[in-house]
Order: sequence, then C-alpha cells, then structure tokens
Amino acid sequence: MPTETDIFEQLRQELRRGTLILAVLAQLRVERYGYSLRQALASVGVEIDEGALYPMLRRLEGQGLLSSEWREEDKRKKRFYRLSSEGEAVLARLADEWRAINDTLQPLL
Amino acid sequence: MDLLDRYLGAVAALLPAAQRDDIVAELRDVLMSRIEDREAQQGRPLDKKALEALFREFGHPLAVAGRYGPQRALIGAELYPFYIFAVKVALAIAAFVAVIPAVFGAVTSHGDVSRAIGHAIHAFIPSALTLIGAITIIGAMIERGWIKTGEFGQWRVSDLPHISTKKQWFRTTRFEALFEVIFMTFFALWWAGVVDFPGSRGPFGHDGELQITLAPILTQLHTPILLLAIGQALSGLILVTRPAWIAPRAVAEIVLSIAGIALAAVLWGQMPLVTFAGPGASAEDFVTLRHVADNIFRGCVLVTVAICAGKILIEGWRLLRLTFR
Repeated sequence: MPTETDIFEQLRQELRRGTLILAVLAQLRVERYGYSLRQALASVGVEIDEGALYPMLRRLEGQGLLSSEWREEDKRKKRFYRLSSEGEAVLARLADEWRAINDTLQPLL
Repeated sequence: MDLLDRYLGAVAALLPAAQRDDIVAELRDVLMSRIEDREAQQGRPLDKKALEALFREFGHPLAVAGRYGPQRALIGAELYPFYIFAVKVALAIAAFVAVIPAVFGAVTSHGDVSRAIGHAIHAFIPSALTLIGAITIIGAMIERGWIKTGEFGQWRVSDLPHISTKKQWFRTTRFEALFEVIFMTFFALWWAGVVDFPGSRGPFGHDGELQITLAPILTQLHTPILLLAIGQALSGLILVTRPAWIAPRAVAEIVLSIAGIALAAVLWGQMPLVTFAGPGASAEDFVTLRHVADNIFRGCVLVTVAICAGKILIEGWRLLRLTFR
C-alpha cells in the first residue's frame, strides 16, 4: 500500500515531467552543453536527473526543436545544444500555453 | 580511467549501433565533468571506491542505455487493459484445459483425486506460461506497430450489449458465452483428435475388467458432431465479440438447435450407444447394466432435445420481437 508520501512523490513527478521540457527549451535559447545546461537549471532551482536529461536532449533534437554540434572546449570535445528556429516557435507556443494554464489554475488553488 | 572505459564499454554494448559512438562520447564528457567537479570539491583525485560510487550513482549500464531506447514500455498504458483481459481469458482457458482431463482422469482411474490435482497443476503451469508469453509477444508487437490492429480500434457504441431495465429471462451473459466458446473449442479439438488426454479414447477397461465399447454410430456421426461443436463455438463467439448482433446469434442458435434435435433423433434410434463385456459377470448382469446406461443416455438425449426446443422458442421469440419492433 503506497504511503501518502509515495503518492505525493508520484504526482509531483507527473506534474514536473512536462515542465522540465519547457525549462530545458527555455535555457537553450543560449547555446550550452549538457553538463552546463544541468548546472544552469540547478542554479534557478530546477533539478533534473542526468539520466533523464541527455535522452531528452536527443529526443528534442530528433524532433527538430534543438540543433547540436561537437566542439572542443577545455581540451575536451563537448556537444553543444541550441534551440532551433522550429524550437523557438514551439517554445513560444508552449510558454503561452503554460501561462494560460497558470492563469486558469491560479484562482482555483 | 580503466573504470570509466569499462563503464562506458558496458553502456555502449547495449546502445543502438547507429548512435553508439555519439552517445558514448557525450556520456564520457558528462562523466569526466562530474569527476572533475567531485575532485575539485574534495581537493584530491578520486580513488577507486569514490569512482565506483560515482558510476553507481549515475546508473546501471542497462538503465542508462535503456533511456536512449526509442520505446520504454513493453505494453503501453493504452494497450494494457486489453493485455490484462487477454491474459485473464488465457488463464481461464489454461485452467479449463488442465482441469477437464484431470477430472476425466480421476473418474477413469478409480477416483485418485491427489493424482488428478497433480496432473491439473502440471498441465496448467506450462500452458498458462506459454499463453501469457505468446500474448505478451503479440502485445509488444502491437505496441510497436509491427502488427496493425486495423478496424479493431474503430469500435462502435452500437456494438456494445443492450442494457435493459427489465428482468431479462434466458439471457446468456458474455462470460457464459466465453465459457461456451472455450468448452466447445476444446471439445471440437478433442473430437477431431487434435488434442488428447490419457484414457479419453479407450479402450475403457483393461483385460480382466469390465470393458466398454462405443456404438459404431458415434464414429459414423463424427463429422456432424464436429460441425455442431464448431457451430456452437462460433455462435458463442458472436455473443463475446459482437453482443449487439442479436439476430445473427438467434439464427445461429435456432439452426444449431434444429441440428441438435436431428442428431438426438438419430442417436435415439441407434441405442444402445455403449455395450459392456468382461469376465466374471453373467449375461443377465450385462443386460441390467446396459438398461441402466441406456436409460441414462435416453435421459441425456431428452434433456438435450428439451434444451434445443427451448432455445428455438426463445431465440425465435427474440427474432420476432426484433422484426416487429
């Protein structure tokens, strides 16, 4: 029998799942590699598991929302991601959607 | 960096070949960055134990590689209810196929119940696991789009069973129909010789014991009985898959009932259906035994005829109501 904490944690994960994509897309308006992206997200209070982040970046790139390139930095090859023009358009629409959801829910909560 | 190479090697082996080098290069950079951060925090290089802990924290190679797969679920949330339903039906079939021969075996082996239970369990487990395995493979293939479900997804509300607020007499539920399908399919397969269970085809009784011989008419009527069983299974299938098809089901039941009465009439004229022989008993004993058996068979035939006649009346009434509604 799941405890109240387990149920809360499961619901919290479900709630966060969609918002993480929004946060990742927003942070990639500026070019970043995976590790620096994670740090940037952490600095604004969005914690994301690496195990989920990297596959997500690949999926978003596969969907054409991100573009990437390998470059050398600090004597190591790193993969840099950036929002594509298609990604910018999708991010704008998702941000509108987020604000609308927020406006709708705010009076209810 | 032996541990890092070993870790990445294990992940690489599980990745799709086309993306392997790219993903591994990125993971190497991520892990190197993490190691450097940890070393900066501690002010010294990480020892083997600390590296082990860091990789364990990052995830088992199977889990890490699995996250890059195109699909995470074997059976998705949408397909899952159908999958579970199919598994339950399969378990019911496996139980049925295991229990019936066991009961038959118990009867023919002088009521050895513990042996029959053992046989039932022994037969149930492999058939249940095989069926569940097959359903899981089919489900996974549907989930991945390798098997197209076609019109199955295009279900209509009008295909669902009618709901009546009135008390419905002589109504067959879908569960009963499912039972009918399983029983009749199993019987048809046995009758056709496709499946078998020990002692079900005789000879009934060993040398020195009472021996039972079936009448030749049962062999002559092999095909009609088989067709009747298949027809009954198909009729049950109509109710299971298309409960709203009242008229086709009623027609099928009427036709099958007429065929059932005809079959009963033929069997009635060919009594006795079984004959007995064996040492140690007088001819008078056999005559008495035959009379008992004949009466039982006559009773069964009469009950069958009554059920068939009842079905003709009930289904005929349903058809009439549908026609003049």
